[in-house]
Amino acid sequence: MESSEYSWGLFMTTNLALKGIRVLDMGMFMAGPYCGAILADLGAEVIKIESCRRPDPIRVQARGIYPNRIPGERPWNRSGMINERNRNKLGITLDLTLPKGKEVFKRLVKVSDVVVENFSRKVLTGWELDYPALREVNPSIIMMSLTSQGLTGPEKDYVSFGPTLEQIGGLAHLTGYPDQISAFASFAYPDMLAGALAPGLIIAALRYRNGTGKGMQIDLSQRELATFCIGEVMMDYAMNKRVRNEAGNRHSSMAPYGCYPCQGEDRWVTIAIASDEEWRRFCQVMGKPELAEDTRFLDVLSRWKNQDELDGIITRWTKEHEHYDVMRKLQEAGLTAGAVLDMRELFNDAHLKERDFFHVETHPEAGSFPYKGRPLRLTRTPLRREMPAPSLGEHNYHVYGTLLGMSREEIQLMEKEGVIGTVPASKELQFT
Amino acid sequence: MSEAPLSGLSVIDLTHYIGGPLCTKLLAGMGAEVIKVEQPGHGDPARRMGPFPDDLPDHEKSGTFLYLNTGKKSITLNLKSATGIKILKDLVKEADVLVENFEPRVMQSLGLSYSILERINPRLVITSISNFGQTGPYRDYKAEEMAILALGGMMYLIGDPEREPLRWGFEAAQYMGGLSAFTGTMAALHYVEQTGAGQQVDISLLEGIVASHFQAPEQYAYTGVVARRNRTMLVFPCKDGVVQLALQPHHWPKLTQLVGMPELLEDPRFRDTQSRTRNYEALETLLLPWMIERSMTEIYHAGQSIGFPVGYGATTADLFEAPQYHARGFLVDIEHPRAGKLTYPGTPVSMGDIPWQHSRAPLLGEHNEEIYCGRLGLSRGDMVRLREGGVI
Repeated sequence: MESSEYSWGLFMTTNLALKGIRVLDMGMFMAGPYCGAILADLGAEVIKIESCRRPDPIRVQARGIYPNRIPGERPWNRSGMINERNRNKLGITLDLTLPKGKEVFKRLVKVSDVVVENFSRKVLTGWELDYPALREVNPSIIMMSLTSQGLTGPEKDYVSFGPTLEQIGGLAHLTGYPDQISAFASFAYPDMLAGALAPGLIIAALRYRNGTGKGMQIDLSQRELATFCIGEVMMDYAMNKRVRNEAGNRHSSMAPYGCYPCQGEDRWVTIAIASDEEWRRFCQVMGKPELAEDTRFLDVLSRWKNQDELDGIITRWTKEHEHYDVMRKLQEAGLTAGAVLDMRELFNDAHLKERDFFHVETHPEAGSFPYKGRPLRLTRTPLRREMPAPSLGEHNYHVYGTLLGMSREEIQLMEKEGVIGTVPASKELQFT
Repeated sequence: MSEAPLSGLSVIDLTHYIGGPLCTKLLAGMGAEVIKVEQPGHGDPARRMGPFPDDLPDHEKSGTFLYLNTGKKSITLNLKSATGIKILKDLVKEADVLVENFEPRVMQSLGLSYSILERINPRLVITSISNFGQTGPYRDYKAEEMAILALGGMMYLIGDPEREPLRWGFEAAQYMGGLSAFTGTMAALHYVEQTGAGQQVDISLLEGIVASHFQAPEQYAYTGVVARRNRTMLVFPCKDGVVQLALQPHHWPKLTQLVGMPELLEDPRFRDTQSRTRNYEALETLLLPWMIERSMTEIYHAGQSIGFPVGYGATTADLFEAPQYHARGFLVDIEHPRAGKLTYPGTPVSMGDIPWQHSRAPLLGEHNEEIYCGRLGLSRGDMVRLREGGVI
């Protein structure tokens, strides 16, 4: 799709990997918006679509993540959650339950390359805006559907959130203390997996479309993706009918291997020793060279069998040092160790700082805050850092006027009829 | 053009273990020709990692290798020999993509840095996957999964607040890195098609984990609150395992319906999310007896049938049985001349009606003749000389 020049007034960078690709991002919560965010940062023109009756729930279920915890007059534009994953996007509202909303949406689809959505399957079918309907408007449209369990099968309409997906995809069962109920506590890891994979799939589909003229719907099951990401564990069952269970921080072949307490409150370091040779070096670093001769720990098998004793000895050493110090000492000796960082340490970590991973962005309604980067970097076409996340409906006039050529009166009429707007439709949705 | 999205694309794969091979597995699945370059004799070290059938090690039967290398061709080539490097450069001339996951200093020491390869093929995309990225003070640090979760701020948040931080029990950083590398490669290829200019994609497994935080970084940036490990909530033991509930505000009436306790709707202790969190222990005590009498899948289906999000703690055995996976054809049987027929996780995506390429992983050096003779025009005699010289 030939991109009009209209949005480049807003965007300054020219060496963008995905320049000229237009994406309608209907994503909500996490997976969809994260996919859209990576596309936007790579340079696509991403238009986030919400409605006043159905804003992205993350706007208003922000778990109190407002600047200095102050919601302000328009809390829906001030949540750190919404502002993190919608940078570099345009934002519009459009009520897709109304006939006018559907009509305008189809006009947008006509001039776009990609639609991203992570609704439950029935939502778009209910609005008569599913893939068959959109394909009629634009046969070359690429629709990325990120659902919990895919668009087919007996459980296609089952609903999920991060924590339930981690369970049904097989991730949670592998994680936990051996003596306690599994504790996964990530909230959204399957969403992040999907969000990282989906942009690549979309670009592959664009390549196919450029060659054949044909669009497609991409059906991504987040549950299957979670299982896809424990492939070698699945193979153990396929080969040996062996079910792996949560093993805490223990490793199947390395010892010592674990997370050890350090000086200070709730400070820890991880250590992983892979060979006898590494073990001898480790003993040197601890200042206990005699330990390397101790028959209880002489080779990997004896170390593995005597892990509890071993961990006690290591703990006595680590407790006397700061976590960063233990890590540096071991790394300097070519051994694997990692300080367990909390958020304050993470934002101040020398490595991420030198790589410029976090960067400060100023949002007109929230203020200036640092945001994390993305899981990929392109050296010639760096990720874009240009625009803060849009406030609800911020680019209505821009998109409807410039992209669709609607008159000011027509847009105002949509506003009056509640098709578009900038304020969530109810007090509850405003979170005030 | 083509029957698959990436047909016609040529990929030189210098990767090993998990993250890198995952990236090229995806490229192969979508139709690219992936030529995996392995060390003569040993091959990808993943070939020595388990699982093995009946726990009998055999470099052609590693489950890790077989799973992560579907759809690829294998050639052997000694990159520590000058002839090996020359042959690799010949391959690079004709390739679109090179993917590698060596420690960052290795490509340079082999004389294969981006600036050198760019001169051979300016359209080349090099995707480099490493623990910490191609720059920065930790660039040459050693790491494995747990160290990356630790330095990524993730481990601090996992587990019980009264106990040590916990690692995730799978290769989260490796897989996230592989998926991100795939997306980065595709974006760089798109740019090549538009402009003719290749580039290097820099994937840091650490950054993949930091980017995967759900809310802790924003919470810290916006409010100064440093997140800690939380007690586990809404996870219940049941008759044969574990179930996990999700409780958005509008799900509360459905939960009371599921467990047949409509009176809870009137209970002031559970009026809103805040009070339910405050009185979580009382809620747990009320729900536990109901859960413990029922099986995981019974609760899962009963909840889902009224639109209430329940998940069950699926083991790998459960996943192989999952009706949803069977209905969608997610699990695929792949025949391998040495390992036999096994059921693998297939593809989590379907792209319209385009089939995914699921052909088996290659034997070590299986495609030497096809690539060296067929592609580079070497003679059988050359092949013998290279073999004797330890190059292939």
